[in-house]
Amino acid sequence: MTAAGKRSLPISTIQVSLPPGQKAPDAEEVCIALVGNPNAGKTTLFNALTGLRAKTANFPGTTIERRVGHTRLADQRVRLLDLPGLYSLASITPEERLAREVLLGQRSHQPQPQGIILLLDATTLERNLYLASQVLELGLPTVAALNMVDLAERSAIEIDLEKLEAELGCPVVPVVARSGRGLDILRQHLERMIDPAGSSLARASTEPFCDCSGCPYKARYDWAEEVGARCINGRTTAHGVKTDRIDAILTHRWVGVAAFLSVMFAVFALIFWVAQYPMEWIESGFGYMGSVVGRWVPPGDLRSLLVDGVIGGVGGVLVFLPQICILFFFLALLEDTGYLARAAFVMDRLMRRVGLPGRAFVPILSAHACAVPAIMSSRVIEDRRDRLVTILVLPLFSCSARIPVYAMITALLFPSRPVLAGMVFTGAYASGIVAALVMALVFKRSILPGESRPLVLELPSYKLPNLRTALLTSLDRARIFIKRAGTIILAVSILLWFLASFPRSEPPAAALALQAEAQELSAAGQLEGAEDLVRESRQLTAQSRLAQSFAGRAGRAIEPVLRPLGFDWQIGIGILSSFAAREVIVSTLAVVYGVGESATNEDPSPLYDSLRDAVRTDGTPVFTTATSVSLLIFYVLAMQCLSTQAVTRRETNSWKWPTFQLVYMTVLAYSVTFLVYQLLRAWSLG
Amino acid sequence: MPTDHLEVSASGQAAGSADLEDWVSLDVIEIGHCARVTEVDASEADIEQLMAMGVCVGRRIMLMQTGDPMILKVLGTRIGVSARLARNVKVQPCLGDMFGEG
Repeated sequence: MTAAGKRSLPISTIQVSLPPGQKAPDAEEVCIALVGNPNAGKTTLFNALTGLRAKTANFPGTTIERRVGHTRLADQRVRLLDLPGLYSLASITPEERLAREVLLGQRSHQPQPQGIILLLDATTLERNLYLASQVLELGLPTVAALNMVDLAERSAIEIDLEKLEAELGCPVVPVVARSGRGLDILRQHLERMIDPAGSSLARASTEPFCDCSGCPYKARYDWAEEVGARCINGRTTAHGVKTDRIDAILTHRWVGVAAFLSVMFAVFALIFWVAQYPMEWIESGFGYMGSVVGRWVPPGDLRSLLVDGVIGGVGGVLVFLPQICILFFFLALLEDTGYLARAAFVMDRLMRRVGLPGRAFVPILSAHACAVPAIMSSRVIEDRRDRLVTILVLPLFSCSARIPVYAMITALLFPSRPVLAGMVFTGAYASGIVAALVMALVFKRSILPGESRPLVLELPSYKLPNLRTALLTSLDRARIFIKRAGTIILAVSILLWFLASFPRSEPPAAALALQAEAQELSAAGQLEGAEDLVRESRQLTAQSRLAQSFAGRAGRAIEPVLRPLGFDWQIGIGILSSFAAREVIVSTLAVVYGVGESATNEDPSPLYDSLRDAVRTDGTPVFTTATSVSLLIFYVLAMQCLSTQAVTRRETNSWKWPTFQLVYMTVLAYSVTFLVYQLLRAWSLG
Repeated sequence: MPTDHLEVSASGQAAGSADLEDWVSLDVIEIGHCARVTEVDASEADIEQLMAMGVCVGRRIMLMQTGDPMILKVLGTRIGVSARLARNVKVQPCLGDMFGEG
C-alpha cells in the first residue's frame, strides 16, 4: 500500500453538528456508511452485519429510505447506515445528491459517518470502480468489501487483491455476503478502521480527476478499465450465458409479456389464497378480544368505544396485514432473483403509452391488495412526475377492501347466478384498471405533462433468491403497517365511532313498546318469543340512534346531492361512514336497514335479504338494478380511504396531492355514477 | 455538441454499407455486434444516468436485444435502455470479442 495511512483523518476533528434541540444519536457512537452499486448485494451485507434490529425510516425531509442498524465492533456499539444504491456520486438523482451530502456531513440531523464500507461486485468490478473512485476521493477512512467472489471464481475472474489494494489505497476484503464468508475478516478491518489510535486509516490514492473537458465520465471509466486490466487476470466480467438464455425468453416482446402475466397471476393467487388463513386467525383473534373486553367492561359507552370503535376499527385494518407481508415477501424474492427488473423492462413498452413508467407495475400490482403499501412501493420510481402520476391513479385499482362491497352488490344484483356474479366482479376490476389508465393519460395531457422518463435500468444476472432478505423486508413492511394501524387508523376509528354514536337519543316509542311486550311474554314464561322481541327492539333502537347521530344528520344533509345517483340518506350514512375505510359501508348498511351486526359476519344472507326488501317511503324498492350498479361504480371510483390519503400525504410531503386525489376521484366517481344511473333509469331499470 | 437526429439516422443507414469507419447511432447497430462509444449527446437530461452506468466515450458496448427498449451490455452488465436515449449515443463498430482480453 503506497499512500495508505500517511494522511489519516483523526476522528476527533470530525464535527458532528446538530441543530439545537435535536437529540444526538449517541455522542460516543461511531457511524459507518455502506456505499455501493445497486444489485451489488448491499442489503444482504447490511442484514448479515446488523441482523434483525435494523430500522427503516425516511431521511428527514425526503422520501428516500434510510436503513440504520447496529453491530458490535471491538466491544463498541457501531451504527451502520445503509445508503441508497448508487452508480455515481454526481448528484444526478436525488439519491445521489443525498448520499453525497451524507458522506460529506452536509445534512443536518445526520452526522457525518466516520468510515465507509465500499461494496464492490467482483463480477462487474470495472463498473463498480467508477463509484469507488468518487467515494475514495472523499478522503474518509474506507474498507472495500469485494462481494460475490464465489460467483467471480466460478466465472474464471481472478482478481489480484494485493494489486487492487495498492490501486485503491484501502484494504480490500473478499466476502460472500450471502453465506457470510469473509465477514469476520471484514469486521477485523472495520475495527481497525474505527480505532481512534489506529494508524491504518485508509484514504484514496487516486488523483483527483479532471472532469473538465469532453465526456465527464470518460476519465474515471478509463481509470476503472486500467485498474481492471492491472488487477484482473483471466476474464474481466462474467459472460452470463445462462442469463442470456433466460433473458431471450423473459424479455421477449410477446413471450415476455405472457410470462409476466403468469408470474403476476401466480403472486396474486398466492396472496389471496395463502393470506386467507392468517386473516381468519386475526379476525377471530380480534373477535375474541372483543368478547373478553365485553365480559370485563360493563355495557355502556366505554364498552362500545372499545369493542366497536377501537377493536373493530383497528382489527378491520390489521386483517390486511397477512396480504401485505406476503406481497412484500414475494416482491423481495422476485427482486432478488433479478426478475423484477425484467418485468419492468417488458412493461415499459406498454405502459409508456399512457405516461406511466415500466417500473409502475410493482405498485400497480400491490394496489390490487391495498393502495397503502402500493403507494409506499412507488418509491421504485425515481422520477417525480412519473411517481406522482402513479400515486394519483393507484387508488383506482380495486383493492381488497372493496371486495366485501362488491360481494354485497353482486349478491343484490344476481343472488343465485354465479356466472353473472363473476362477470360483475370482473367488470368492477376492469373498470378500475381502465379508469386508472385513462386518468394517467389525462394527467399526462394536463397537469403533469411530459413523457415518462426513458428507461435506463440494469438487468442484473439471475441469482437464487435469499429467503432471509425477503423475510426481513416483509417484516420491515409489517412493522411500518402496524405502526400506522396503531396511530392514525386508531384515531380515525375512534372519531367515526363518536360520530355514529352521538348525540345520544332515546329509544323510539316502537322499541319501548316491544320491550314492554317482551317483559310481559317473559313473565308469562314464553322466553323464546321474549328474546326475539328484545332483539327487534334493540335493532330499532340502533337504527334510530344512528339516524339521530351526527353521522345520520350528515347523511340526511347530503341526500339532495346523492339523489341523482339513486342513493337515499341511509346509503348517504354508509358513504360517509365508509369515508375512512370502504368496507365499513357493509356493516353500516346492515345497521341502517335493520339487520344485526352479527349477520354480516357469519351468514351474510339475512343482510342481502333485508337490503333487497328495503323500500323507500313511497313503497318502491331501494336497491333497484340502477341503484345497485351505480353504488358499485361509485365504490370502484371513489377515494373513500383515509389511510390512502394519509400515506399520499406522507409520500408526496404535501397536502396538495392528497387533496387533489380526493377531489378528482370524487368528481370522477360522481359524474360517472350520475351518467350510469341516469342511463339505466332511462332504460327503465330504475 | 448538439446532435441532429436526421444526421444520425442518415449515418446509420450508411453503416449498412459495411463501412466500419462510419459512426452510427446506437439504436441502429446489429445484435451481437461490439461497438465503441465515440460520442454522447449530453443535452438530453436523462442521459447522465446511462453515462454513469458506463455508456460513455471510450467504452465498448454490445447490443443484446433490439427494440424499444433495447438491451445493451457494457462492462459486463446488461442495461435496458429506451431507444429515445440510445439515439443520442454514437458508436463506431469494432472488431473482435469485447470480452476476455480485459
